[in-house]
Amino acid sequence: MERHDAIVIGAGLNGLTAAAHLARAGLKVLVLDRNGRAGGTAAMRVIAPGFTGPAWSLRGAVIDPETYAGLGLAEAGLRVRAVDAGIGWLGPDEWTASLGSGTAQRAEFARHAREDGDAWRRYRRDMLRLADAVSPSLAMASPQPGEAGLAAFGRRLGFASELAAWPRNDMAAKLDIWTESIATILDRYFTSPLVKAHLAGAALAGATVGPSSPMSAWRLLVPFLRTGADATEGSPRLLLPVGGTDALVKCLAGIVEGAGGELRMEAEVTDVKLRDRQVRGVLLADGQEIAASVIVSDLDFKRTILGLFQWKDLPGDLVEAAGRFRMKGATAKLNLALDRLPRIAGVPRDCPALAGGLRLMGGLAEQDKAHARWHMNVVPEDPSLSVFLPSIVDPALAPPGKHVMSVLVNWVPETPHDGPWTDEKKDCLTAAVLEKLEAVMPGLREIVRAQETWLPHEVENETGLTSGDLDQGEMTLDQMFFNRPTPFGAPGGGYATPLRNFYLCSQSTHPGALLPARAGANTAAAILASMKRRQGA
Amino acid sequence: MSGDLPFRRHLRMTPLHSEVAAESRTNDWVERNGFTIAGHLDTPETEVFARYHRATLADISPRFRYRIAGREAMDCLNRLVTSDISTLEEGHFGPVAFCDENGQLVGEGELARIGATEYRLFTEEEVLSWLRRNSTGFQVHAEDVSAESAGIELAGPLAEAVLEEAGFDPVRLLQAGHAQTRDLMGMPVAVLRHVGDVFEFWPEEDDAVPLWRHLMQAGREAGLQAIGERTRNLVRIDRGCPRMGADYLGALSAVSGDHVRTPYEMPGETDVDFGKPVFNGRAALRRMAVQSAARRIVALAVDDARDLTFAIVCKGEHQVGVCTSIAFMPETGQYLAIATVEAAACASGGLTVETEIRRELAVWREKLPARIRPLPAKR
Ligand SMILES: Cc1cc2nc3c(=O)[nH]c(=O)nc-3n(C[C@H](O)[C@H](O)[C@H](O)COP(=O)(O)OP(=O)(O)OC[C@H]3O[C@@H](n4cnc5c(N)ncnc54)[C@H](O)[C@@H]3O)c2cc1C
Repeated sequence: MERHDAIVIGAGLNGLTAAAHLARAGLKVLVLDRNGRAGGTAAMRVIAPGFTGPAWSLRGAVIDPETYAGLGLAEAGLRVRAVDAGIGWLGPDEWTASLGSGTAQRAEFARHAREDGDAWRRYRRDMLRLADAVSPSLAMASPQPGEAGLAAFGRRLGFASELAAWPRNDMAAKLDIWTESIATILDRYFTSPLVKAHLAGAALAGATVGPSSPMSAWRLLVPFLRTGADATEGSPRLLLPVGGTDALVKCLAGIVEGAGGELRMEAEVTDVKLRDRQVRGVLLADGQEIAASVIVSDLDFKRTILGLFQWKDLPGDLVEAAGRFRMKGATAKLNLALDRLPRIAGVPRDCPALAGGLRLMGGLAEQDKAHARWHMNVVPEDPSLSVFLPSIVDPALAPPGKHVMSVLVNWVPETPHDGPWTDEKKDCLTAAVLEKLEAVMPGLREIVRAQETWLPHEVENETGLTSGDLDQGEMTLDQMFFNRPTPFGAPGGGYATPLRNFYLCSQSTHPGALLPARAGANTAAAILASMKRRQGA
Repeated sequence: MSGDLPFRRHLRMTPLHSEVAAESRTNDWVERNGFTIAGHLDTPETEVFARYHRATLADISPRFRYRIAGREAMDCLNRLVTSDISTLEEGHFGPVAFCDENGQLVGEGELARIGATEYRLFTEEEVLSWLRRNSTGFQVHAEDVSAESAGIELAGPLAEAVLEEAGFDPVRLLQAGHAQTRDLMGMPVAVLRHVGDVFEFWPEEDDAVPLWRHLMQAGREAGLQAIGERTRNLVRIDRGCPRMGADYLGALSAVSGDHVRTPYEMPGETDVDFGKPVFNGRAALRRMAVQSAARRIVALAVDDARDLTFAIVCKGEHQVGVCTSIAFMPETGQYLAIATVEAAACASGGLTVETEIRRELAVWREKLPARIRPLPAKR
């Protein structure tokens, strides 16, 4: 029988990142994926001949340097571009931008409210302080549960040693970020409704919460968690791979193959073979069996447990935990191939923040309304959009002068209240999105050469992602840190499972959407640490 | 309006930019608070000589200016600053420092009393949202008036002679510590006189160029020299004055708590008046007043004229501090620095700096002795 040191099921970014780290440590790794193109939910797609863009996600891969540290991606050929993080648009005279230069960012916000320029410094300071405090807990397996009370909670979030050193008022803010709403936190700093809507909109792409939902505030922290976020005094820039997810995938696959491993596409795993609660190998759809000492799943938690095993072989509470794990789809996706760069009403073409995308999500009240309607499973009539043009960052993704537009439609129900999605309902949604885009970018309709729409369940069919939930499990405190996906209570936190030699590495594990692909790196670290312990014993 | 969108020009030009550019032999520009200003306009030696022995003119427009006015302006400001400003008379100004509730410096600057209920605050960093948040409940309004005026600094031993030649006698006769609005050539100009023959002029934006030209013209005989920020920085370091943003960070912007400072860590005396029943940071400062600060900001001198750089301050083998501002003083052939040093290490001498010395392509390390310099009286 074919045998490998480790098998990674799923060539999503977490799976590939885990595989590359394992390969660098000397393991022979086999990566299996049922699709023809690697990258999972961050994968790219040919939208029309010559036009390539992120298929299901807004931007595809975003690079956090520390996640890939030690892999040698630069030597493997990866090149990245740092871009300003986008524009929030409420009207031709009502838009603002995230800018990397501190003086420019302050002046930009001061354009809308004089004191918001200087408020930016305080906001940035507090976000970076919080990021410093949580960062240690993002690096490796999350601390273990077992203690109660606030102090223990603080300790688990990784800032115990600092609790005494920080002034009281700051400590309060540290807990607030995990409990409060986006709106509450933004109100403490900014006065301009536009600035608040802009920062909230950026934080809410793909979210299942609204700006006034409790426990939403941590989303504001995300851009500040990436390594190097403090490099500018303005907004943290986005680091995007030149060539998109495909370029990153190629480098990671090269590292796996360079170490004697293999990436095998169109290879669907149907079963993980268990004996005495220890995994032995996998069974492919074509009937082939492959053995390995370690098996890692990049599928979401629900699909891994409920889809890859015979339930009767599993501990009952594991099946129950997977059943209870909350996953909710909240986004549809439109991909457009455009004959030229659209003109955005009121926004000059040379605004550098455009490279980071455009948010058409309205003010805080509209965002809350859109979220409330999603809760009631209403298909949005005035859709809330996150827009990104990958061909601005890398013109090679479209023919010369032409462009690709990636549109994430936020707060779209998985199943409408009046019954399942039909072609008619889908067409209605597409029409509403195009109408909104046309209003912001006059003349857009004439330059659309190809378009496609993907609903949550369609994304699930294509990627295997339960409910098309881009976060791979709701990011609320009960499903974060040591609780993500569930407190297994084993060393290695939520990466190791009660099944020996079986690990989880997807976004369903810590730190989830806090840092894309960090879970993959952490899983590899947990596996290597456990192998070391065993060798030592 | 889209012409001046912030992303178009990360750095703006002051109203005096073209005037200053005309004086530049070096085309050397530096950034200050989002503005481009001259680094050096001439050789360092020429500028430094003029500053210490003749007279100099400099563009100081990038400082932030706030207008604070209202029935309760004095009460509100007294709540914000550490010193007692109720004694500040109309037409006078003085140094102020303001802290957050933890006793950490949020800003420093000069406060001028323009009228019974009107003040101007000059600072290095933006503090508008902080001013507004802290004036809630007071009958007072704070606004940023930086864009309304331009700043010109006339300094040096012959500054008075230049003013006499310019026909600005009322300004020449101004006492140090006074701030008054004068009619100069039919233009309303706010004038501040510091100790040590330093005059600041704050004309309205459109009046800046005529005033600059008039002063340059009047100073010809006295050898008036336009200078840039690098020489002004040298003078500041020579006087031992730390600058927020360079030698320590403001409490509103520092990410690490290690880089903010309390008034007790500053050189010289920062006025903290516990006679005032309430002001920001009072309780925290009260606790600090009875302890001795663990570190101090000090002025250092390194007697060496070679091409060298340094940052780390040592005592024996141990690092005890960091230099945050460094400048070479051509007139004495020494490097002058502002440094933060552990208080215990300041006492008995024996400090060194770890230097990197360059000669053509060769670079090597040497530890050179560093002296703590006694400071002249503040401001
Ligand atoms: C709004 C939003 C935007 C996002 N944008 C970004 C972004 O810009 N950049 C970014 O890095 N991340 C982004 N993400 C996160 C991103 O979409 C993914 O979650 C991330 O790439 C990690 O995915 P993964 O590797 O854990 O799993 P997946 O990407 O889901 O990978 C799982 C893989 O397993 C394969 N598979 C499924 N079933 C089987 C089977 N039975 N046998 C074999 N293979 C199988 C699938 O084909 C797939 O390739 C975003 C998330 C949200 C919510």
